[in-house]
Amino acid sequence: MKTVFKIAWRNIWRNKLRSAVVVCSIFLGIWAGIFVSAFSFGLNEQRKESMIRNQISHIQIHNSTWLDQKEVAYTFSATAVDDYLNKDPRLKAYATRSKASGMVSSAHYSGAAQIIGVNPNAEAALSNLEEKLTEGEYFPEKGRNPVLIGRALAKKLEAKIGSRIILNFSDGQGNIISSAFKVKGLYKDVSSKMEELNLYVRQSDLQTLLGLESVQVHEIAALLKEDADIEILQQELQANFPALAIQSWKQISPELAYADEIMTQMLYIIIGIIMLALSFGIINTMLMAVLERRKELGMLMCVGMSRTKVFSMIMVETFYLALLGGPLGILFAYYSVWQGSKSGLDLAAFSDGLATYGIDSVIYPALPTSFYWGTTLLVFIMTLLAAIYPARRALKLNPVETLRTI
Amino acid sequence: MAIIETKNLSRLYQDGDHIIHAVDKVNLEIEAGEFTAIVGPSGSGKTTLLNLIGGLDSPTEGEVIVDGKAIHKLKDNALINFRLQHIGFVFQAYNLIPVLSAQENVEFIMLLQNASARERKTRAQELLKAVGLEAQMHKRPAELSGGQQQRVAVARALASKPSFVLADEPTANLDSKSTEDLLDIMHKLNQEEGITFIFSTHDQRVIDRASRIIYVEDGQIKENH
Ligand SMILES: Nc1ncnc2c1ncn2[C@@H]1O[C@H](COP(=O)(O)OP(=O)(O)OP(=O)(O)O)[C@@H](O)[C@H]1O
Ligand SMILES: [Mg+2]
Repeated sequence: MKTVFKIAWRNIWRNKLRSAVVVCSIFLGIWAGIFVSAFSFGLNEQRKESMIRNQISHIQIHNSTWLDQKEVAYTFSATAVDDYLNKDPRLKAYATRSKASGMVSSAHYSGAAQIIGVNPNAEAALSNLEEKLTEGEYFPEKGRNPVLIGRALAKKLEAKIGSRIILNFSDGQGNIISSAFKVKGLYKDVSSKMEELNLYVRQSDLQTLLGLESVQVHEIAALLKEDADIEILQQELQANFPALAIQSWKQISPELAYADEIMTQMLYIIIGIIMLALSFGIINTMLMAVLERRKELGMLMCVGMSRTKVFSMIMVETFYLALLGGPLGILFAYYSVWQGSKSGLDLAAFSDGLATYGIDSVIYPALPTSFYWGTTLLVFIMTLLAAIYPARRALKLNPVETLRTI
Repeated sequence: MAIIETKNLSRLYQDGDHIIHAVDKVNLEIEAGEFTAIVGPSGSGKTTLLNLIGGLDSPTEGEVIVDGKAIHKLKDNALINFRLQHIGFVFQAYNLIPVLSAQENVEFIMLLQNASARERKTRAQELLKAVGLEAQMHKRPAELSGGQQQRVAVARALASKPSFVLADEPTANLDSKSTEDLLDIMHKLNQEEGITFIFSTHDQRVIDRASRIIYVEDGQIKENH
């Protein structure tokens, strides 16, 4: 068997150019395939992270009726949940929110508005609201009724820092409340639609206007340190507070969860297609090699080389070709993904488009380690499948015929 | 006892709607130590006969008995192994593995027989010396002349310690000097080591050296002496 390996190894270098082309194409194909996968995976992770940080958090708690009818009246008392979450070490941050739907207007424009009352300190730890500010201040101590509005809304309202705008909304009893707020900051969001819709005010201000106690809130959003704890905590909370609706990010944003789930499968499909293409290259090369050498193979069978050995020899040759290119491609890919994950790839040129999907302009490629192992396994399977056909062709040669035909 | 015996051996080929009797009811015995030439015009059935004797082709009818074994009854794998253990082959061309040196080519056949590394090396060097290629042992086939390649092939054929060597037109691609040299070596091996050679040829000089000549025509033996 050692000799089979030796002969096979020498055989692949008989046609150096041809073998080099195959080895290089496997190398480049796998490298590119993994890198593109890491790029997509990183993109998806960032989108997920940004959605979670921006909007949905890991866990949201509501009054169960509020989910269907988002009316001011459907609050719940935050005290008990607050006590529960307060001492839980798994939490990174959480915050309570109050919400009201209504209208925003200035002298120039009026439109629909979602008014979100936040607790400035807790909110800053939970979401990236503070970082999103492009102008002004994040809920300064002084001054009554501060509001943060999106840049797109500011443009429509023709409002600047310090401008007064009017918010109209109904309280729980059906009274229309109209109140003046002072623009203290402008924020930038991933889409102009969100910039137009969402206005952030102090929770206490909103609660007072709505006639709610400070413990009566519409939402508690929480962020955890470890992804693995999300569902566990969700179940615990549900058990402790059966009357409340406890949702994880997967329920809040099913499409995000779905994208997350099928991502790896998609990537394996991409890699699989690349490998299918590569395997045709391998099959073609090895078939040529077998047909070119049919007299020699015929002679070997005539003098007593068993069919198993002839078969193995061709199989081994194919494996050499694939195993020269494949692992090299995986290693290079691993290295470049690692490099890319440190510095990131700046796609500023396309970032306007990306922003609408909630993605930063700098992409950090990333891949779970298991994907490298999976790819390695796929390379093996591909090689095995690609090797069988040429090796079978070699077996089917009729030794006497090959020697007769000149 | 004869090392090769054929009984009523026939090999037919279908060519369109008529049948070619490539080998036609041949009865033949070959004894150990013979130096036999199979002669005849082109298409007379020499190659077919040698292939049948060598277990490379199976007869349409009749029997081939080699070393007391009815090889026409052997199945594929058993036949390959029989060839490996009992018969040495020299073909007209494409005898050697291009990526192996002369010595490795000779060793290869012993490797298939699972001989030890030491045995392989000593025997390969001995045989290459015997065919006058001491200096060329580490060269690859492409670096050898046609005559030298055929001599490596003879050494390779002998490496497995076969009962006899079959050679189908071993000199057909060689110039007259190389033909002489190869014949000298084969003849010497026959005389000194008692190796049995059976070869087909068109070459009168080769025929002249044979101890026995079998003349075939239309698949039948016409003369045998
Ligand atoms: N595979 C085959 N199919 C059909 N006919 C064949 C086949 N092989 C050999 N023949 C025929 O059998 C006959 C004997 O052929 P063979 O090759 O044995 O002759 P030969 O004596 O070796 O000829 P040469 O001196 O040209 O080598 C020829 O008529 C040939 O055409
Ligand atoms: Mg012939």
